[in-house]
Amino acid sequence: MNFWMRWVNFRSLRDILLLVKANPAKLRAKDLSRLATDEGILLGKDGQPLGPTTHYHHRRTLERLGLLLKHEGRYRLNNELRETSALTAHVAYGKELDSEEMEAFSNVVLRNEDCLTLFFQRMLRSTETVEDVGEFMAHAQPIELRVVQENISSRDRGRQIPNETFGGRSQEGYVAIRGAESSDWTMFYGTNAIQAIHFGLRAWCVDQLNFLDEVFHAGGIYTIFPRHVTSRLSPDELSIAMVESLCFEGEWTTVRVGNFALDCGIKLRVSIGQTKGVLTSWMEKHSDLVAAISTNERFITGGLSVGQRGALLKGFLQRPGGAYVSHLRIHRDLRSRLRMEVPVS
Amino acid sequence: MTTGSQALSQLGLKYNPFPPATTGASFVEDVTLPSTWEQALSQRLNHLAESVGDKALVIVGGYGSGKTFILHWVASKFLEPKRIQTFSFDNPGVAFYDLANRLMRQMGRYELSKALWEMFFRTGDQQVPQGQLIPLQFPDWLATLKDRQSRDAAVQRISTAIRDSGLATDEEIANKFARVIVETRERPFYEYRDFVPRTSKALVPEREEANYFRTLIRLLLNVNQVEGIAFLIDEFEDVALGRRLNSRQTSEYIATLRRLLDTARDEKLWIILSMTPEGLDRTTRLDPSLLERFTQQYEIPPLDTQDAQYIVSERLKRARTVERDGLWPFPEDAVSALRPTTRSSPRRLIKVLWQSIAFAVEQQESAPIGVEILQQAEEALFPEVQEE
Repeated sequence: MNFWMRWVNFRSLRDILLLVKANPAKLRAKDLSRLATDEGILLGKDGQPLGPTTHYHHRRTLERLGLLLKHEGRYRLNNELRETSALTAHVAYGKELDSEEMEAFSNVVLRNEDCLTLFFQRMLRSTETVEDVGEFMAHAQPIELRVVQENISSRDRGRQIPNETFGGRSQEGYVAIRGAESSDWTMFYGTNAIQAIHFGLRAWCVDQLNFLDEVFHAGGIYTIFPRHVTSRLSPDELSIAMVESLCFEGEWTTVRVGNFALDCGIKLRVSIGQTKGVLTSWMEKHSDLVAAISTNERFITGGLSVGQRGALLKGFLQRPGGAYVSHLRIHRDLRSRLRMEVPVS
Repeated sequence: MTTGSQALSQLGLKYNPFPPATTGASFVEDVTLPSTWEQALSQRLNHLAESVGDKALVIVGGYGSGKTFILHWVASKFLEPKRIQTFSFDNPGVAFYDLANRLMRQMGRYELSKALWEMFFRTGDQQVPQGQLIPLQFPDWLATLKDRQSRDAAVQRISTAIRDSGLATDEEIANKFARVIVETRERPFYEYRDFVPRTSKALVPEREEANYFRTLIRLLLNVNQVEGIAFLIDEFEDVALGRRLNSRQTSEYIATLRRLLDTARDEKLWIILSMTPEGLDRTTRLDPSLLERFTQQYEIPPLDTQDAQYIVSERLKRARTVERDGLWPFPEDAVSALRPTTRSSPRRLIKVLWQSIAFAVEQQESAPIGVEILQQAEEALFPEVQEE
């Protein structure tokens, strides 16, 4: 099992490709590090140069993804990959990734055998492979991921009842993954597995490449699902699609913000930010028909780490005053009002 | 210049019957619920009363949905007629002994000690001193405990009496309760440290929370001569009010709930909790099996127009000075003229009506109060965001 993935900055990866494009088959590893520092491509938040390990992980990621080739210690672009041209179209460093670049990186990540084995296979079920993010969207299903970073005993290890286990020492923690509709966890043990899957692959796809999104549940589990990098629905279309999915038995229905945003995100392949945006607009623009039910933030985030707290609160709306909204009570007239506002073509 | 009371009388009212803060039911003389709510709640409570095992009900609703009001209704209309004594907790704390602390503080140390002393020595002759015809009263008895020797002897005697009565089998628990009585002379009140089990002077035993609590419930049942004890815990998630729970406190919170339920199963103890929907969800995720034991849950529904009118008319009829019924001094379509989110929420509804009367008084309006004043009040309290 190859756990080489680490947290890397994809904008820096793109800029390193630009450096190599400008200096084909000239740069050795140390030259690339020096140039990346000089050009401000790989600097810390305080503007200070980053250590050699960070440079190494960025170079290795590009090599493993097949975007960089190394010949006699010098780097050159792999122009045989169709994604290379999309990723080297810019001339200036430091620009945010555009959707084409995100898609190009997503394609090479999805085609990588190690990434597939460790992560995407659970979304694609069986042993399917995909060529690009479009094909992935057509087949991928949500997964659940649980990460435990503290020491675990052999007794706890037995409790998980995995059907597959991989990786290193169990006492260093584990990552467990299963299809959202499956009861079988696949376990990856050890720090390397956590770094590669949780801080590497998961964070790449959710935080930077934007073709996956996630919701964190208080039970310590992430639900991760595929989403389009660029939404195919306008905000109005999304709003209509979401209100149509509501079920009214009486005058009112109550939805849990996190669950409803996630369900709609999965069904419509849009981000949690977009579905929450629709709910916020309902709450603010139709306050006569949508009542917000607040909750005690200190209670719901009790016992969670700072990072988990932030991830959990992603499943809530926030009022201008700062209060967190866990549920919305929605009147059935909202549907007809939204239909009137946005005529369905 | 018209005074406020003159302006109110112009509206046919003695006072504004809608409290602006709208918290709880203490302002209402007669606690009544809409019939649909009452029916659903009575059904659940009767199921509990008629069955053995856990007597636990969770009332689920957002802020301002009527949870506190319902708890008052449960206490006054259901439990009290069944001779079940209620204790209300606003913020019970996460640790089990926090509950004991608040419970015993509600009783008062002196009162509890006196009642227990009288219970154990009601028929005995030890309290009649030699040469006296009139038995000792509790303060006189306390006054006899001047030295350590007499106090130790008293603790021993009461401890034995507690065990003999079958209220406690554990020697340490009996001893702790005996000390509650005997040491009342030195300190007729509780301090928080009394409920911290690891201190040497603690009045509660370490690691014996469940047994201690069972004994306490049995003592309360005997002292108060009631058929049961009920804990009404409002906004249970407010255990975290003002601070964020850490992992240990979160575990304690779950353990406290579980122990409470265990006690409720074995003793005549009712547990009625109110929670927000997210509080319930969080608790369920922390321990799914725990909430399964709350077999009876009542999710407060939004008020329909008829129920909203009932709530309004119930309050108005006590404040009116004129022979009118219905919603007077408001027009009959007052409630339906409000936004759905306002008329479906008890707190919002009450606040808007309070503000409407306040505006009508300010503007020296006569009855009936116009719908435009209601809408003005609604907009003042809950302004709608203007669309761009």
